[in-house]
Amino acid sequence: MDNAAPDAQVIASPTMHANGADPSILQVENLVKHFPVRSGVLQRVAAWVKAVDGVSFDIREGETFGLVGESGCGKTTVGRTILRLVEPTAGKVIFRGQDVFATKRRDMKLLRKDMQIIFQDPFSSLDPRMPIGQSIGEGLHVHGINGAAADQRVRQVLDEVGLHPEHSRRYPHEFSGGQRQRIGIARALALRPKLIVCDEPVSALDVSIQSQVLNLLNDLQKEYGLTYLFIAHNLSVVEHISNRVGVMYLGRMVELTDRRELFVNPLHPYTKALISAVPVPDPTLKRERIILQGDVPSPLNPPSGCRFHPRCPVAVERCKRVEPAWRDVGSAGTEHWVQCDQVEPKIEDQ
Amino acid sequence: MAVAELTFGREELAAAQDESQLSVVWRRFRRHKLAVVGLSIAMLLALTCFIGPVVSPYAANKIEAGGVAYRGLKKLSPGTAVTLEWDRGVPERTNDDRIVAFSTGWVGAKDPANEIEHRLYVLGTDNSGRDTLTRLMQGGRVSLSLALIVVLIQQILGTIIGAISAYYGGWVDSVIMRGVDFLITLPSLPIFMVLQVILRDRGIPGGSIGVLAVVFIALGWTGSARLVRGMVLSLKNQEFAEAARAMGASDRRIVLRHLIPNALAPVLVSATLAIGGIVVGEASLSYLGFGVQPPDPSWGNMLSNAQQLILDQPWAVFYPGLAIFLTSLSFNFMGDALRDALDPRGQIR
Repeated sequence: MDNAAPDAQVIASPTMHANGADPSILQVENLVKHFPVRSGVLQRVAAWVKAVDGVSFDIREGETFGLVGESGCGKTTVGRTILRLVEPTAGKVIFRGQDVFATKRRDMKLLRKDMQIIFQDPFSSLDPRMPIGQSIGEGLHVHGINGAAADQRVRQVLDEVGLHPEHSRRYPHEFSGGQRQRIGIARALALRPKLIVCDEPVSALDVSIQSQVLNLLNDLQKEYGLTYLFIAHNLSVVEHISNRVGVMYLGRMVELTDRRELFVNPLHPYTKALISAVPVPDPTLKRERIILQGDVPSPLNPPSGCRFHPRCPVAVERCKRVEPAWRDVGSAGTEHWVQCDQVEPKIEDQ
Repeated sequence: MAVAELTFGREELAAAQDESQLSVVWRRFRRHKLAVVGLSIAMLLALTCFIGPVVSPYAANKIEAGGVAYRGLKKLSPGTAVTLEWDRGVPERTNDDRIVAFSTGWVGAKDPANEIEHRLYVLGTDNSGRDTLTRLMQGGRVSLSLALIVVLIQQILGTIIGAISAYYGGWVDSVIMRGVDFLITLPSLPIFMVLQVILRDRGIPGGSIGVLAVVFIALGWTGSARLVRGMVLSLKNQEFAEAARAMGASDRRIVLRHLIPNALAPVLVSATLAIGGIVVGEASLSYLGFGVQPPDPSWGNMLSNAQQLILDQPWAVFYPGLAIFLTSLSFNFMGDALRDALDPRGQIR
């Protein structure tokens, strides 16, 4: 079970070089996932939900990559497709040099050992009829680690996430939400993965417990040298934990840069609106809030041109027709990708 | 890190006793008085039926009491064990001089006039003079073991088929479920009869009882298949199933270790209820003459037999009827209690 050294600490610097040596652990290229909508007696495909429609990014070893966007923008689908819990429609994912989508189904097992997931809902993510020790040890069992070695590992991870090893025989309903989320984390850790997809791991928790779980994730990252793909809709949480952040809107990535740059100098009008909506615990502060008009259009039939144009405060006629390019407008040393033609490179601060 | 929450959590957990889910279910089951009564009746019936015929002085199929029907023990005054009241009605005789008609009275010991040894038949004898109690117990053996075996196989089959159907979805699901729909739309009684006739001479182990079991299983798995399919459809998209997949667990493991155990509670309830149903079903078929064949007793054919003589021996209908009623009722009570006891949303303590 000592297949991965836990002391391998690779902490990425928050400032990245776009064209340096490639330190990425995961590359996502032009990922597409369309879900069929079936109807009628013959279950014919009536339409496609374009949940993810051409998303590219890379994640560097040891960093936390935040993925934000509102509900239904496809961020969760991105996470699940990367792990092949959902089969992709098109695109490519390279994990540590291996093409995930080209891997045969039976070889996926080996790959899964290195890529794990923490789920959003600590109530439905644990099998209610299985003692938590068994749930945590399931991965070990599947990968051929049994008996005392597996037991010991389960006790170890339980301890590492701050739970009593003796509780491994208890059932999920005997734990609180925060404790269950720790169990979910322990389960993801048991196999000593390299990458963990955190699918909104704190959004189901009380605010008081959120920070504890976030800190735990931080500590474990250092200890195990983990890389996180951190999916969230809460910008404060993402700001707290991420090194780099990607913003998604309606199945597309609209902006991607490092955390500081994104929060200080958001370029895409959607990102600006999101950031202006983050609550600030200061009642005297007067801010200019950007209120978006309308609702998110249906991913069944996304708008033409730039997908954001019906709600965009700075949209021009051209935006309706021409899809903006995905381009890097960052200044020296900082990458800053954005998909908006109305953004000038090196635009002045807000 | 997280000190406050953890300490609290630990105390809370220390207070909760380690208790297996089985004992929780048992404790909740016991709260239902009717279910406990039902369980007692069912166990009593089962014990009586399985031990009874062994210790009974009579054989179920042997003609006793000179081929005469007696109503059973009505009055047995103390100290008169040997010379019992002997109050027989006027016997009707057939052409071949065999007595076919019936006592209105009670029997024990010896009939001094006729030199026939009249033994004690607690529930009397049927019109052929066979001991009713022994036949009732022997018939119960058949009915109960048939019900248990049929329900067990039926539910296992239905669970596996339903789980596969839901888990794989798509055309697999469509094919299986259309098959189920087809089986359900068939009018069951004529099918039972036809199958019974077709299978009768095909060397099914257990004779007419074995045939009955095969027929019941063949037509009866659809209910639990639907039930499990519905459960698994909702379970398979829950995150714990996805988590198992993310671990690299095989489809088989996910279905057997995660989905089926979580879908099992309603299956257990429906199985319990189905036992009563099979007992009644066996009785109906045997009553119609398509079930257990005479001379072997079953509650159904005893009932059918008694019905022909309902005016002469009205009591003969009562015993098998009561047995069927009690069995069905007690399993239904248990099923209801089990439903509550297995509900995870029910209060735990």
